[in-house]
Parts: sequence; structure tokens; C-alpha cells
Amino acid sequence: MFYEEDIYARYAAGELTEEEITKLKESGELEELDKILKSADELSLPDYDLDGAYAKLKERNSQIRDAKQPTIIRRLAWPLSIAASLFLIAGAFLFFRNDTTTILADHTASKMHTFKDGSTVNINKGTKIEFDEKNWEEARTVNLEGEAFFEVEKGIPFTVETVYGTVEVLGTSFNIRTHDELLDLNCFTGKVKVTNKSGKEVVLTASESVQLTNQKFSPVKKLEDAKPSWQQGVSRFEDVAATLVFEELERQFGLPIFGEIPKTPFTGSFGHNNLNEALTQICEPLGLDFTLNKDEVYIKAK
Amino acid sequence: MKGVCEETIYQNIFYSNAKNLRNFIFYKSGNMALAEDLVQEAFGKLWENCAKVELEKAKSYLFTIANNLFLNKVAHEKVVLKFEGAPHQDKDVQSPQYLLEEAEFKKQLEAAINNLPEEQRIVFLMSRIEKKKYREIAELLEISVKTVEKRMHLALVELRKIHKKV
Repeated sequence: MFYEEDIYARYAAGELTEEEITKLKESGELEELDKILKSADELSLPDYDLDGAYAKLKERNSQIRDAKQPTIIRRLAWPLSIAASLFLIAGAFLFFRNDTTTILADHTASKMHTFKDGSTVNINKGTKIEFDEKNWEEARTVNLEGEAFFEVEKGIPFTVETVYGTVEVLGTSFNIRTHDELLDLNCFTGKVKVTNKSGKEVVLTASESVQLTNQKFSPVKKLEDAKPSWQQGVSRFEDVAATLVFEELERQFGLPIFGEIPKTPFTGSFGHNNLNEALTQICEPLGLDFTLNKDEVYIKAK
Repeated sequence: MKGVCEETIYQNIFYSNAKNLRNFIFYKSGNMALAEDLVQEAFGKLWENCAKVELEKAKSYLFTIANNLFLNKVAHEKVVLKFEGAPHQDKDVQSPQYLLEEAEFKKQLEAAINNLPEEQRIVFLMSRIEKKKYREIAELLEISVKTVEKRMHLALVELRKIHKKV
């Protein structure tokens, strides 16, 4: 029997005409639907303590209030996800480490910083670095969350710490990316050593790249570009889940993206200067459609 | 202009959206602890970015953030929703055989709900558990009422199949 594709929905909402109901009754569907609806109506969810949840949220927000000003350089903006007990440790730590400088590049622009010794870092959008420049002669150490390109002057070891592993160098240029639950390291000149959390090391020489996923190293690959693609205004992906590609798009253009985004792997690139073009470049191969509103993007299947 | 950074406004946004957001993530994940955590995280992000998010966009922003967090945390885990069992009002007057059949039916139904495509499950549960109107669901999910009705219909088509099994 052919029905309109919303008739059950309208029945469940009590919007059917007498005639339509009679039809459903005769075919026996009505009884079955009633049983489902009645049984489903008895399902319920646990209560939600809104006051409690809001109190918890306020507590959490008060921890970041001071760091919230939209300045580029902040003091010790601690990662938000750190648990309360760790906050105490961080608090005590503050006395010793209050020379930490934080540089945050939001979605509006990437940022450049030159360290005391002339080494430079170019920070991609949506990335944060922290370092202690007072202590630079003894330890050149940078904490990185996100993606950045370093050009390092010769000298004592230069170390980049990330949540996935540590990268150590002597005079070289290299790009590290720690979005997408992996560490992606591209070495452009010189020599770089990367160490995972369990102490396993991989050494890269010029024009080589390696990925560290779930603490496992990929084979070392040859690099084709002389500079990271994002510095040329392009984001490039190889077999990366579409959800993550759209996240990078959000970071680059600073627009929220909604809709039904599949986890299908995507290989390709998008440019950073035209949102419409970038969306087309991603959506076409994935069989997706997009609607570009004033300040949001909506994605759906074709 | 009144903005999200103002505490009273922010609080209002929380009280009018937190529950919808929690349930939305729960319907997707079947994990209530995760859902409540993500509500905290999403609202935390809203606070951090309060200067950048317009008041009218706050709801969309929250749902997008929570959804992204969810997608990145839960990679294709099988969804198993656990509901509170509301007591039968008519327990005393029914035969044990009837009650047994009822319980069995309920189990089948919950399993079938778990197996619904996510978008249908969300619409179905918002409608039946939260008694939301299709128009309200459409607003929340930023889709048309027609789409909501279509998903609801397809959910019921799917759920009706359990009658053939019981």
C-alpha cells in the first residue's frame, strides 16, 4: 500500500483526518503503531540538575576568566580540559613559571614570532604556543598545541613539546601539526628527532615527513613541497576524515559549520582566500552540498 | 548591545538550552555522563568566545561545538541507550503473562530504537520522550518541519517491523 511519507508522523502527532485513520485501522497498522507509541511514551531520561550543572560551569569558567581577554600574548593560559586537581599543581607552578609567554593565533590570522636567538616560529590559525624566554639560554623549549613552522638557529637543543611526543632539533626548519589526534612532522632542512611518549625515536633529515598516530610512527616519507602548504595559503590532506577537514576549514575561516558531515576520508586541498571555493573543493568529491549563509555554513548530503 | 559575555544573559542561555543539548548528545551517543560533560565543555567554549558569538547564534554555536566534540571523542561506537523504566500504572490488574509480553516488547523496542539511523532516533525521541512538537524539533535541529515529519515517519516504519518478530 502506498502512503505519503509522513502519514505515521502525522498520526503520532494526532493530525490525521477521520478518513486516513479509518484506512490505517483497516490495514491493522493503527494497532501496531499505538503499541509502539504507548511503549515509547513510557521511556524517560534521568533528571538533569540544572542548578548543579550551572554551578559547576561557573566554577570552570572562573578559572579561565583572567585569560579570557582577547589579547595576543597571555600569561599561562592553561589548557581548559585539565582537571581540578591538576589546577592546584598548576597554581603552585605559577610562582616558578610566571615568565611563560603564550601566543595564540585565532582564526583571523597566523602569527610570527622571533625568539631571542633569532629562531622564528610561524603559528598557523587556531594554534597556541607557550615558552619561557627568560630561560632561553639554558633551554629552548616551546609547548605547542596546533600547527606551527619553525626555523631554528644553530645552538643548544631546541625542543618542541606536544601532548603526543617531543621534537628535538639542532638548527633546521620544520613544521609540526598536532590537530586531528596525530602529530605530523615535516622536516624541510637540517635534522629533527621526534620521540613518542614511550621513548621511541625517529630521526628525520631534510625533505622528510613522519606521522605519529596513537603513539605509533608511520614510515618516513619524502616531502614534495619546500614549505608547509598552509604557509602558501593552502591546507592539504591525505586520507583524513571529512569531519577533521571541516574543522580545519572552521579554523581557517572562523565560521561555524553545521550539518551532517560524514567521516569519509578526504584527500585533496583547499585555499584560504575564498570560502565559497574552498567549500566547493571539499564538498564536490565527498558528494555533499553546502549552503553559505552570512556567518555560518550548512552542509548536507546531495 | 547586550552580549553573551554578560553573565545574566549567559545564564539564561544555559537554562534554556542545556537540557536540550544534553538530551541531543545522549540520543546520539547513549552515554549520559559524556552528554553532561560535553554540555560543560560546549558552554565553557561559549564563555571563552563570548565576545565573538552573537546572541542569536549562541544556540547554533553550542550545538555545533557539542557535536564536533562528540564526533571527535566517540568514533563509531555502537550506541546503546539506557532509559529509566517508568512504572506501569496498571500493573496490578494485568496477568503475569501479559506483563511478560509487555516487558519483552519493550526490550525489543529499545533495541530497535538503538538501531535506528541517528537522525531518525533523535527526532523520534525528542518527540516521544520530551513531547516536543515537530516545529520545535525543526527549530532545534535547524531543519524543516517536513524533514522532521519524514524522519519521524521513517522511524515508525522501521520500528513497526518489530511486530513481525515478537
